[in-house]
Amino acid sequence: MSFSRRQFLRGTSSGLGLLAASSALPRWLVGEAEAATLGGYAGYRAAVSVFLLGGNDANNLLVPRGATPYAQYSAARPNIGIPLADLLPISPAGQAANSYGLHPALKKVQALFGQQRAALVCNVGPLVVPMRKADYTNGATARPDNLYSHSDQQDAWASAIANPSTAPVPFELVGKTTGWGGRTADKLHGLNPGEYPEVVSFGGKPLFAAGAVRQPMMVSPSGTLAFRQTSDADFNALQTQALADVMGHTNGVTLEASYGGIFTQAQTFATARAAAREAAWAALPEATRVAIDALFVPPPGGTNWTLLTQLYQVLRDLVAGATATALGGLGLRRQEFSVGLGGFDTHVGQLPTHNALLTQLDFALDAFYQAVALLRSSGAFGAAPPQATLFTMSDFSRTMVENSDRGTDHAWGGHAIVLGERVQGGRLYGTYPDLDLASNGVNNLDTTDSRGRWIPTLSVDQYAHSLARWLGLSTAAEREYVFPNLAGYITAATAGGYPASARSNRIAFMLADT
Amino acid sequence: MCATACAPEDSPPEVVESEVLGQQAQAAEPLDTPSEANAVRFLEQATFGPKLAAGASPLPIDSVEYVVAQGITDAITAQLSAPRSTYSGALGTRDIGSQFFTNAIQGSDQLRQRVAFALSQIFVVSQSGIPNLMSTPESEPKLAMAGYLNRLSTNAFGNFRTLLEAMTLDPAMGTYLDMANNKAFKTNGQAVAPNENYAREMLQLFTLGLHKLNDDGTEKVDAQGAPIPAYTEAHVQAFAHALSGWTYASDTGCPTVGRSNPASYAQKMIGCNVNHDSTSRVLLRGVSTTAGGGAAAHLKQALDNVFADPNVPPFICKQLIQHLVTSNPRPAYVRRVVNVFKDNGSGVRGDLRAVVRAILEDVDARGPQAPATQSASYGHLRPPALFVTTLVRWLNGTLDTVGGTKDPGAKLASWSSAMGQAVPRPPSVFSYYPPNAPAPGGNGLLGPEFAILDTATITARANFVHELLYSTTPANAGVLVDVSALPADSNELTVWLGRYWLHQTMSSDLQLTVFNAITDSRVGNSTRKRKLAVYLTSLSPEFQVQR
Repeated sequence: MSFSRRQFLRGTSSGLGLLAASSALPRWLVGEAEAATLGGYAGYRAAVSVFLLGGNDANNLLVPRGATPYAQYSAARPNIGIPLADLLPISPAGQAANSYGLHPALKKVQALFGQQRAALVCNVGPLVVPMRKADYTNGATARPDNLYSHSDQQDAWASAIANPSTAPVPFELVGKTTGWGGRTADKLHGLNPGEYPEVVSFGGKPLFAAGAVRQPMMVSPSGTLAFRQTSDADFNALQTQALADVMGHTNGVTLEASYGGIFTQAQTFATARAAAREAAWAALPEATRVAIDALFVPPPGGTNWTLLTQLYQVLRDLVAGATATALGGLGLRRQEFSVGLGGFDTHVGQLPTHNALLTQLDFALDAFYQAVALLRSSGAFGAAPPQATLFTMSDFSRTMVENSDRGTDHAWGGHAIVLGERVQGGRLYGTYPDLDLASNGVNNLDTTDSRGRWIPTLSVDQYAHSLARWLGLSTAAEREYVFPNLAGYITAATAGGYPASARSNRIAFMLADT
Repeated sequence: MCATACAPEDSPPEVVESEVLGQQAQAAEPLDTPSEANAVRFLEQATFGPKLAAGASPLPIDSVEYVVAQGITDAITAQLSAPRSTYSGALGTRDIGSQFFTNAIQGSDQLRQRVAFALSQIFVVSQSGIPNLMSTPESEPKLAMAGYLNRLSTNAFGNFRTLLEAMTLDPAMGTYLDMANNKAFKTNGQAVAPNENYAREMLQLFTLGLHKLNDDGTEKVDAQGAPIPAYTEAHVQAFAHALSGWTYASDTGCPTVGRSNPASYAQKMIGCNVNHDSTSRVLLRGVSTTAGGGAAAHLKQALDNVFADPNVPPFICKQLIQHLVTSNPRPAYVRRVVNVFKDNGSGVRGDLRAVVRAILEDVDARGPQAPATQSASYGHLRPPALFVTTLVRWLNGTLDTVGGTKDPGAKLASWSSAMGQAVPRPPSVFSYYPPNAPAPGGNGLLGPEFAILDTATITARANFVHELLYSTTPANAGVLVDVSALPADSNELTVWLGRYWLHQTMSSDLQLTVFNAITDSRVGNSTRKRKLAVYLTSLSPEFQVQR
């Protein structure tokens, strides 16, 4: 079933005066009508970006177990390679049983892969157009800007614009720095009532959440967003109102307006969010709340796990967003969340560091997945319970060949995890790179150089668009706005005789909507 | 086709004419006889916050009265020779973040600290990236950061080439970016690819930046209008090889081939030829290292090569201007400072003392208010650390460290941290915020500090001021501020805040809002009146954006 935006707004926008367009918000924070649809699902959907900051070594995340590729893997990584017996075997659909192995820390992801709720997307990375090794070497084809640089490649993933210095972008984006989460929000805005921000970020890459029009709610990783008050309510009212007035005095100065706009957004939505989180949580059955809280209790050694905390707060915001306004929730239909985990820049002594990070990732992803399953089974949301998809992004993967410090250096394409009840799991998407680096890799068409830096065979744009489409992005015009390089990418892939996976604007890891 | 971060100022020969006009308009106020408003502006750029002398004699060199009496030129000279505040990593000392804020509030070498703070956001080391060795009683993170910050402040007014080498061989940097124990050989003598981390970040973040620059800080472009990379991947690898072989100082000297020395932070790193790749490598601009050279010789060649690159002056000077004065300096301002970097007048390149003076004495920095021709684009958002120290210093704040029972520096550090700037623990080598971050809704204007301003951290700004004024926890932690010196009369109070805190630029809108609020009957008493006026003024957009 599908609603038009107008019908939807008529049906649900009553009682949301607090969240209706605030005249106090600057124009650059207030969205306009768009054509995105709820076509896929009339209930609530959320996409959760898990940014692995620093460049996750995907080469140790997913390892081929076949004799030849595993021997090539071991040769490149004599000190930091994972022993064959320690890899957690998986059997991707269409491939030999146990043909790949996950990092030993990913036990829960392995289980979800087996249940077909988790998938891996192979060798995905920033691309302007599809590239072969010859294109990379001769320099005639547009490369992503500043490959191998943390900040630029984080931005490339977060923005899905690999070449910000030269990309021809839609006029609405000229002079703005935006992420694909934010631009998706620009287009999804009409599906939600009022002006509550579509994107709530607890960490990760702020650029991801910035739209040209819609701006995110940024919340501390602890989840709280509230203004201190004195014990005198009358004085508080005076001070709060005067402060709101002060934020309007920006004197025609650009930076003052930037500051005032963000302050006003915080003042406008902090209270609404806090109230909805409390009311919606209280509206859940107590047994569900207890069970969810239990999922997020860290195991011994995990008390400092920031990703777990962030995902718990996302869960609480998700409950607030998905709960009907009649029950005190926000009554939203589509939300995006951003969380982040740092420490992946493993130039030195990679094994223990990476193991600790992936252990945390494994636990946190699973806790969130199980918590959404509990919401679904609680009955609190009737026939259309909330749906959520977790997906990873990272600056880049790392060199296949280890360095002299038992670590790895900056590389390019890597493997991402997608996980949720609507994921077509138990599969690998894309093409796993050739690990043969004999003769310094000169005959290996997948690497840029002798150290095993993979040229991606799927682009960030294809990956991101698959998720944005699931959220409700519908028309070609919307696609071209959110992913301005994608049409040119497909055209070049077709003209260049690339395989079908490069010629599709989506990767098929989300289940089709019925 | 500018998708990101193209300031309107970034395009420019056409604006030269208006710059000349701006220069003429501003020339009205000579450096040696600044107005009070000009003096306040100077102290906002050169210190951790202006303060009033409050009857002190002789006048403190970082007070408004001193600058008015002595003039800008002499005030800078006094700052250049003020006794240097230092850090200690010894057992029993406060956390380095606490020491940082204590120095910022109390130290008389305000300009040196301010420049060192700016440099610490270019040559980045984070305390979070220094492991503590459980086998030793010391705190390695503290020892390492104290040494690094002392080295930065020692070199803040020295030569950039000296600073570059000091940072390259700093053991904290060695740990943070893997310059230490970066070996070109395995234990069996077989060659191995050295770690590229320091080489890459040194080129990208400490010296060149990503793209070739003109002397006015604007990017050069190719025939297609695209920026031109300042270095290639091959350069990164060449520098990684040229800089291989260094390790921590040790009583036993260099290790054998393929081995490492344990981390040690008391002295700078040592070069070990046994782990150095002595082959010739092609550096920037086609210059090669000498075949057969040792670790020290190659390091000198590599750093000389970088230092001579034409990108260094604009890359460094523009960032220093952004940290001290304004996020979007006009190209001509950058060019004037770059010219001083290239030659201090005595033929010396990289004289930071001369560069800092040039930044602060420039016509685009001086005068009682932002240049009229740049009114819409001028200024920079106060970063959290400076917002904290500026408020405390304006409120005649003192830190109670007597007896060592209280840790007021830690309290200041915790506020800054809540606002997104945990000194000295930036989240990555990109520091707290990048120099090219855009201002939200700013149509291409840069606003680096906005990269850490969001609904969460902006709420923390308000909550910091609220706690400072209305709670007893700051005093309990030893942070003592005094609002009683502010005028009690509503009109005088508003005028006082405009005169000092906004150096006579308080808008009539803000005056009216503050006045109406503090004359409301719900205020109750004169103490709360003063606090409310400070709360509203300090959180106002016109105060938050230092102009």
